[in-house]
Amino acid sequence: MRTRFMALVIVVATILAFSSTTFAQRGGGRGGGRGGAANATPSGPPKDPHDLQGIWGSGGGPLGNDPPPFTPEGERRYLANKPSYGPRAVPPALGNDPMGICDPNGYPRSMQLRPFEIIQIPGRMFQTFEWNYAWREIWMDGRELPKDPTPRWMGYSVARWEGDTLVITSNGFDDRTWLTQEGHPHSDQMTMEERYRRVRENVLEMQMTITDPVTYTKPWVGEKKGLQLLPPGSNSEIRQELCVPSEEAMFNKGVRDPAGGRGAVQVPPTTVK
Amino acid sequence: MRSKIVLKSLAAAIVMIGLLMVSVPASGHHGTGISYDLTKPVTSKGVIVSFAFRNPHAQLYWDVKDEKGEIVHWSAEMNAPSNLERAGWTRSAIIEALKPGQEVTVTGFPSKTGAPTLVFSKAVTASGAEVLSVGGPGKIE
Repeated sequence: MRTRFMALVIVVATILAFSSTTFAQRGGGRGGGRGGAANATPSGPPKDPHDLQGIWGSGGGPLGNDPPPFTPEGERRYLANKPSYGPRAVPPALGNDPMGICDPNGYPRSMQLRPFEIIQIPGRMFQTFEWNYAWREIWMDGRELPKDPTPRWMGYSVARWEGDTLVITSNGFDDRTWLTQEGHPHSDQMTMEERYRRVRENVLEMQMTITDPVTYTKPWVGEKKGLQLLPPGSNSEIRQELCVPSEEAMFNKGVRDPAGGRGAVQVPPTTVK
Repeated sequence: MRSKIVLKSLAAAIVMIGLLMVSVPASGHHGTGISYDLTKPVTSKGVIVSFAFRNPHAQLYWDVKDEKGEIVHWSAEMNAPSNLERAGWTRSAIIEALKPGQEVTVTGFPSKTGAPTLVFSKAVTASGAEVLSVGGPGKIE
């Protein structure tokens, strides 16, 4: 009986070990063709845990789980958004996703699909995002968040080290952006805390918490993500994936609108380089 | 008896873990999928009119003669240029592969509305070039 129980313990432990490896790989791999290939080989401890620089896979976006219940105002905002992802998806031609007209994705949505880079300089760090070729500035010179911020697309961010964990706090977010592809809203009262720790040379652990009492009844604590460092080579360069209104319009007339039942296919006259 | 219950629970847990591991990647997160019927791949033969290596998605356009002899303009939603580049395509190589004027056979999943638009899986041209989806709802293994 006891031997059998021990055998069970070993089997369960093996399954858990295997599944956690798989999920860690998927963290970067979900980027896949979108976020960049995962560097699947586990590496050793970081050479310098306070150096977060590198190009990291998106991990499928920073939140990754369901939000807490909406407030009545949050529910109203959510229902006004017509996304093309998730349970309320409509064809993009019939939706109102800001990205369909090249409005900024803002933060955290900028991190959803494609790789991003972390660059550190004295007193500041930057994240550059491939999706929409956007960037975000994070102050690390000891300043505090503004008390009465003017809302910005990427918010206003400051950071400090707690041991080997970089803690970024942000406020002042423009409420026209969506937090997720599924159209989760936020208000301009939203604050955010992100915790980053380089647990291995090629794995950046991150967790995001959204606090927005206008929209959500309690803080939205995102999944703990294991973002993967992209292996060196041209595939780990940040590409200039700008959203260009004239290109978006051509795509909408040629594909997106007809696919959603709006109008006939409009063909560009010649190959567009 | 007790060990039987434990074994049953363990088997259920293994099945659940297996299902979760399979279901996560299958769900994807590309909004394009909602416009197309992903259960019914179609094949369309015609002549390439235009190709756009542009954001947010590359696009292929080709003309097809229907039963009445009338020309129907078809379009395909392909991958984003950045993803095509990551998969090894350069702009000049894919433009050369999908040069206008060639006969082409395009496979993909059609618009749910019946419009002559599909999300791209594959194109084979008369000159033998083959272009495959590199990810997203059109990709077929």
